[in-house]
Amino acid sequence: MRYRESIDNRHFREEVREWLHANRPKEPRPGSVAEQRAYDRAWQRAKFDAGWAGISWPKEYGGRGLPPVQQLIWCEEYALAHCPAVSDSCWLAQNHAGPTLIARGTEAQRSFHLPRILKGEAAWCQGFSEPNAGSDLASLRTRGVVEEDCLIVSGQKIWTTFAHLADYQELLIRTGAPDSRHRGLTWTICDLRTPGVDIRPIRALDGRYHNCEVFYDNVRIPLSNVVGEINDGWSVAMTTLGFERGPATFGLFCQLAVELEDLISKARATSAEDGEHPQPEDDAIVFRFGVARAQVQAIRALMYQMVSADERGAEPGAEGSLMRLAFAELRQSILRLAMDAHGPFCLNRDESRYWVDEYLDSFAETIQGGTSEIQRSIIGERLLGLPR
Amino acid sequence: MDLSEHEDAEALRDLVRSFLAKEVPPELASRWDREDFIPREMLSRLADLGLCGLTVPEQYGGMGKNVLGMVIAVQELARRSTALAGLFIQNACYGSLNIAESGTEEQKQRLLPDLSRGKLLFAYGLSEPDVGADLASVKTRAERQGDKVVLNGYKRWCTGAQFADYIYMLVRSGAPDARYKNLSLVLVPTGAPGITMKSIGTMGVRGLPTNDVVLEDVSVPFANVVGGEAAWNRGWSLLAGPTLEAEKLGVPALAIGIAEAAIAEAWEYSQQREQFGVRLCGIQSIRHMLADVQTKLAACRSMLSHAAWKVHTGQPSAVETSMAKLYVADTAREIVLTCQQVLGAYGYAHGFAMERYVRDILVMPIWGGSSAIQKNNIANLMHLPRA
Repeated sequence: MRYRESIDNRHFREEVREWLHANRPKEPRPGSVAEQRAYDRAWQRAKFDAGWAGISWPKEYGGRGLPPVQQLIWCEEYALAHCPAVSDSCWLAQNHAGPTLIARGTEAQRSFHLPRILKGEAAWCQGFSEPNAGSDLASLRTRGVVEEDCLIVSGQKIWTTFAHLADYQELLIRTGAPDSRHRGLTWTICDLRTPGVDIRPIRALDGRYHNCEVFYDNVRIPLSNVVGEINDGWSVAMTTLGFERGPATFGLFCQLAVELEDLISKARATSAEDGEHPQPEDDAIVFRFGVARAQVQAIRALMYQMVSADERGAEPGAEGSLMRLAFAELRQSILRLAMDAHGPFCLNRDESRYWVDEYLDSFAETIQGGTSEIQRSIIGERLLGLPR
Repeated sequence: MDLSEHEDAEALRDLVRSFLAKEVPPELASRWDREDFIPREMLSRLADLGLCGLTVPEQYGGMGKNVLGMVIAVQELARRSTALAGLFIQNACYGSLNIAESGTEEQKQRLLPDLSRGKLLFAYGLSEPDVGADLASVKTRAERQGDKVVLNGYKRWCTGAQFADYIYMLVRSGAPDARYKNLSLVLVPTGAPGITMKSIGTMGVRGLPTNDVVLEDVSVPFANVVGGEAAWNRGWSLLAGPTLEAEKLGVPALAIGIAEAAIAEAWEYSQQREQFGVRLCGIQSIRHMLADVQTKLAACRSMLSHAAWKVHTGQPSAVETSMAKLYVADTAREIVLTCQQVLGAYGYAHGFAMERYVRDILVMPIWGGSSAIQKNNIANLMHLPRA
């Protein structure tokens, strides 16, 4: 493995940097849900029109067909340019719905959905968890029955991030016998405008609405929306989770790495004369900054290794759990450090809004996309081969 | 050595628990949090139980200073609502403990009976926008003008000030650079002309809003200087006096109450929730998390009890109270965050109380002297050389 950047990639990086500095949105992302969707969509469209959407996606669906390392370069430069948060309403579609369709979808599904995703016209959400099926995903009960050319779906999903903003959903349902577990699941595309779909937002710890409950009452989904085969949804879901836990984390991680550097710069610039800000004279804070920066470097190396494997054609697998676990716990630790470095000012939600919101949001990090306990189990069983 | 809790203490716990079970259902505590408002009359209900008399000497209508009882009351109230426990602290600690220890005889007679009846509420006015841990650098000015004191300045983090009767305020009553030597404590009526307040949005302890307080030519009687003539320019010694040790126990008691509630919720949830065909409580990693939090909680309780016993019996306790504040606040935060993880996504969303416990616990290592300040205190008090 070589870490040195090729001349082509260096040129690519310069090109990305120039474009981002000239074209990144000047206005911050608005607060209201409806305005956020419009903002995300406009920004995604701008990237698409300039050829910066789907950098590593196939050209025939609107992508650039470039190697994964250039997608990573984009993520790094995007974060360094302080562009809007990557985890917007377009994020899921581009980071695991789209890649799942590329890997497992039919030609018709790819041709219809991928260009819409890249243009920002279609937002997606994920309908996997249920009230009684969280970590134990294979016990889900939302039922799908084949009737002629449709699946008739009834049941309930929960913790569906951005369902209230989304147009389509990655929907995992039970089409086999109730006790068929992994063997009786089907992964299908659900158009959320279909009659019988009811979306109810859930208020989170930070007072905002990120997640929803979604209810299905005899929802008719064409069989042509099934990705993979009927009752083979578990393997498709593993593909989705492979993307979600691995490559989808790269953009988030790059932004976290820049946030840490911003925090260090702020600590350097802050006077401790007021007696309230513990940094930078507080050795304990300085020590934690040092540890956090070292951890960022370690995860960066892991990310490069995963991109290198991707370039060799390996599909993301259980290794994604390494990335997901390390990122989730590092994000919580850095944002807690941000709170401690702010001293009592972190209490003031008005003045320290960004850091307070990020800190509260980070509590979900070791829960969503598979809890840290689940990631550890996967690492133990599938990477280390430890017996159950 | 007998480490068991005295039967009076058990009776007090039972009294508070039974009151909360009847009068403060969990939904009410959630509503106070949601609406960011706790009715002031709840203080009268606590007084009816006798809680407000726990820090008032008998001759002024109380039950005698009972630090162990005060700590128990805070813990038990915080198990249900941090805001309710905070209301009690504003009365029993900020008010009664300070006046009983530092007030003039006239102030004691004037204020303590009403404090013990739950009719008075104090807020602290110590910090300023540029003054936090280093309280000796406060800038709010107090000018003596005959039998009046005129105040000008800006106070921050005055928790509960908007529904308090008095702000127990630290002010500069002499030259600005004299630091500890010319500070005074003044009781400032919150309705005095010249006072404006602004509420600061916070992530936790909702129901007990914290305020910025601006003072423009606020005139109060000299009789409101805590300790009177003898204490003018000697406020620092009052602030850092024996009351401080009892007061330092308030935050760890709050933190333990919240941690106990979080553990109770996680303990129950782990027995109700099934995944992979077994209850969560049957999964080793979850069992270990719950065992860890119980162990940490037991350590926190022991540490707080020891410090409270030393204060209660009048022994030197500055190191022990700082250690309790430091260890319990930090550890309780770990406990609550672990319990949140046991609940998974349900610990992050409204519906269960866990998300409120998380928001409430985060301030504990900062409130009442941050963890960093407590570490400084411990090192200094244990005579660690600076160079």
